Order: sequence, then C-alpha cells, then structure tokens
Amino acid sequence: MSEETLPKRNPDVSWRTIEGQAVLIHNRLGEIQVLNDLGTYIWEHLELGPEILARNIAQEHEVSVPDAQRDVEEFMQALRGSGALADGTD
Amino acid sequence: MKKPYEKPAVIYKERIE
Repeated sequence: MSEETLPKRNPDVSWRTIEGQAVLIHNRLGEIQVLNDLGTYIWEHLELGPEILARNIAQEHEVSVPDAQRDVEEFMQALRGSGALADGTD
Repeated sequence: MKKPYEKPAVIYKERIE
C-alpha cells in the first residue's frame, strides 16, 4: 500500500486517549466518538496500514490475519463514513 | 497466550447540539 492511500485522520478531529480508549471530537460536526481497545490501537497506528495492523492484531489476539484485516478495513470504512478519517480525495 | 478478540468498534457516539 502506497503512502498516498494510507488512511489519514481528519484535521477537524481532535482526539486523546483516556484510560486506554481514544476519544474523538469532531469539531465541525460537534460529535464525540469513543473507540474500544482495538479501535484505539488502529486509530493510534493508522500509518501502519491495514495489512500490518491486521498482522499485529492476529499475533496478539485469537483471530486469523484475514479476519483481522477484514475487520480493520470495515472499521476504517466506518470511521471514514463518520468523518473521523479523511476520505483521501482531497 | 493470545488475548480474546473483540472487533474494533466505536463504542459510544454522541452529537452535541
């Protein structure tokens, strides 16, 4: 995966990890989102890309790499849909 | 020993109006 296609955080989103969970504040939409443990891991390490994220998750958790990768990509799609991730078209 | 797997997810969402 090239650097251009890696998911990027929306600059309108402020965030902080509190007690292991990422809290995202979408300033323009006025929306708060809280991520679970693996959601937080993905959010904090977006620059790794879905393949490496899935491999790392599968090493530590009871899940196969393909299943983890599918879930990572679905999660990123959900973040894109909610505006937390930039859609990459700009 | 591997940890139990829980899909990555948004667990709370609120619109502030």
